[in-house]
Amino acid sequence: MTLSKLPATGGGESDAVRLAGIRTGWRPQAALGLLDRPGVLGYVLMLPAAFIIFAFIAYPFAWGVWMSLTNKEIGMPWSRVSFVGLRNYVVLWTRDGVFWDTVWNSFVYTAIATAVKWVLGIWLAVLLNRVVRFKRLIRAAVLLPWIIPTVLSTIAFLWIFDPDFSVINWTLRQFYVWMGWGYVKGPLWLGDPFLALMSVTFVNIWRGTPFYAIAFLAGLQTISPELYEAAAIDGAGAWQRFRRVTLPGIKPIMVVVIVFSIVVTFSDFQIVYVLTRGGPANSTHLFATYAYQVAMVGTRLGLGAAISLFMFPVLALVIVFQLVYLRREER
Amino acid sequence: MTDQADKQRGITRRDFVKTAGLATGAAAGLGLEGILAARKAPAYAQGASLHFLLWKNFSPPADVEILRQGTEWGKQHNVNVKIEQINANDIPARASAAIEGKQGPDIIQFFHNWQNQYADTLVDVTDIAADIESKYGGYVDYAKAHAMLGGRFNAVPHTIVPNIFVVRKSYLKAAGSDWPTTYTKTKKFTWEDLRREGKKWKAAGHPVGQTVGHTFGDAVDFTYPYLWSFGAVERDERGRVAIGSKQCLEALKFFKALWDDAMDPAGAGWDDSSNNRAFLSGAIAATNNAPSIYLTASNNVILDDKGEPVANDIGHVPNPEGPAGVFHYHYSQQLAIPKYSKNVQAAKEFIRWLMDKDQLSKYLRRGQAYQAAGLKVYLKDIMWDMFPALKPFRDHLLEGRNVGWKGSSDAKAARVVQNYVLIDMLANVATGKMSPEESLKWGESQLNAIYGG
Repeated sequence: MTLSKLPATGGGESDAVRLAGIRTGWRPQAALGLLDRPGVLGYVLMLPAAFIIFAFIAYPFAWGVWMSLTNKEIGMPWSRVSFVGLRNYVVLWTRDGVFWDTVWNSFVYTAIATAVKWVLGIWLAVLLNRVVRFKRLIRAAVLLPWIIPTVLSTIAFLWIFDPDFSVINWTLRQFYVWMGWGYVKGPLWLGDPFLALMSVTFVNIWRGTPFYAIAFLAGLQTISPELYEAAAIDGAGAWQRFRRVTLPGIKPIMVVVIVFSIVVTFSDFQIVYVLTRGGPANSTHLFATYAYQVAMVGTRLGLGAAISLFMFPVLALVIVFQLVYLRREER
Repeated sequence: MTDQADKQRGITRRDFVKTAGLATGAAAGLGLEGILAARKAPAYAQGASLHFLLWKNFSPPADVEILRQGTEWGKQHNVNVKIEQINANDIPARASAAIEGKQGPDIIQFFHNWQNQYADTLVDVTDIAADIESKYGGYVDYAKAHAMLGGRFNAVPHTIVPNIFVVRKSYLKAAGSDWPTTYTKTKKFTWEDLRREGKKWKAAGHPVGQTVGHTFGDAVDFTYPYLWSFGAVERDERGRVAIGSKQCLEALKFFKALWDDAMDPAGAGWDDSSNNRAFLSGAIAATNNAPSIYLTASNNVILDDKGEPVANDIGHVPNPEGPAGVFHYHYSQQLAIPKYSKNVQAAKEFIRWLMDKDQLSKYLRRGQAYQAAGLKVYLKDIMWDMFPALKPFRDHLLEGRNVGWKGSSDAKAARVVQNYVLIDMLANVATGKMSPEESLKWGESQLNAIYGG
């Protein structure tokens, strides 16, 4: 008799045990019988995932929250660590000369990068959806920026943005000479505070657009061609078909992708770390890079944890929005 | 295995225990003298290993030598010495992770006074440092100030990377500048001179190039002595924050003028290697740097437009003089042992061995005088005759100060370095992000937050 065929016994001995006339103090069959209940089985199957979430997300998060409320420094024994309440947050809010730059940079970086990736992603997805020849090859090529390890591609950008050896500036110089306008050094991609922030944002866009495009492409392919045909017959132009058919068709996947992207972009680290390390004059610090500088390099773990946790309310709001939206869609 | 079997292999178990016990006891109890008396190298546990973390040197031959030395000492002592080299900018985070996790390298190379941030977690190496000092004479003052805290050495001063001004003589001459050939001890070159002459160089397409970006070496090497030369210090002798001074405001105002008139604005985004590349490609005429520019030009036989070796066109001169005098900053490099290490004794002996004249002089010479020693006696080393073009680095080596000067180079002074506070004060005005007054106020509040003022 298989487990699934055992009738539910309501917590007593299973039929098999009763039929066999075996009397035992411990009845594993009874416990196994519990698994027949969908409610119980569901929780059991969820346990490994719950354990992983607890071990790798909930526990470190709670630890981070606790650390942000202490004066913990690297190497400081816990016996000397003391609870300081919200002091780290207050210091950041009122006395830290870099924190508000970091807040501003993070919002600008995330807003511009997300908006541009969204537009370029849809555009690229629509184009890819139309490509017939070498479809697989082109899609694989489009994904390359997203697949290459971020540090590697960012090191290439370090050269592209170099004021003296930049391919962009070199081209510009040649153009100036060709036009007879004399010598020009070209933009200081990483030396000017505004351009530096725009440069790191550009690299994020370059890297993230393929993800948007492929995700949107998957959404596009679920839209029935008949809808487009019907719209065309009704006299809808290209823009109207895009607005009335394409956008609503990919809306669910779009929300998920954008929310995911905001979370990842807001907490970005590698691009800034490789290109500017937060400089010049702290004009490119994001929460993650500033937290790293304060905690891992400057050894103030408590303060660093507080910087990181300032990201939490923003990201939590974004996630809540996503959950609410998805639930509404399910209904 | 029986003793008989051991004998067939040339050593009995009893002999091994005796030898190992004698040597280990000697090493632990008697130090180097004990080992010498025992006439045997100390034996460490079979298969013992030593993990040494240090930077990827700007002078690659030095890396070859340190790897060779690690292998040699490892063979002598039957210890597997693993030498790991990483970008200097990444050392602090690696050290933090190791110290907080209580596992990682047995020896860590720290720069400036970084290790003072972890002073309580490092092994007291006063015994080795004091032995070396008594054997070879005194340490260079600021190297000692960086390595010692509260009367205790938490690291052994190993090397110093000296930094002075590196100039392209032909560019200066073409612009009609008589610096550096006229530099003498009585006729010095001031920051005002640099601004005036640099303006000409910039007009000719070769400005002064200097980083004020977030990077470990050049940004500190330039910023600290620049501010000191105007009489601006982060703390006074009593340890009070003193950056909000008239002198500092003057330094910031002047820096803005210098930056706009004579400097390459790209420097705001540079790292430690950028000015080397810019100099060697002819993009800049002068920069504060270590000997790496000269060594790269010389070793790679880089030629200028006329086909002449660039190395012959390079001059090394001291930093310009400010209202308070001429100041330099040369960053020290010291070796520390974290307390979590399970091989403290081996680590100590390895450091002691590295500091022996035989090893240290070879390391410095193989590195082609890129680094100097943390010991004053090496100022007389024949190495400087081997690389005469680099003698100016030696001549100004003792003029350095410690970070945090006029205060101590404690953990908080290290934190100021690691958070680029003074560097950002210059960057704020250079990039136009803040006025000199705003940057002064910003810097003072940052220092107050760190020093708890």
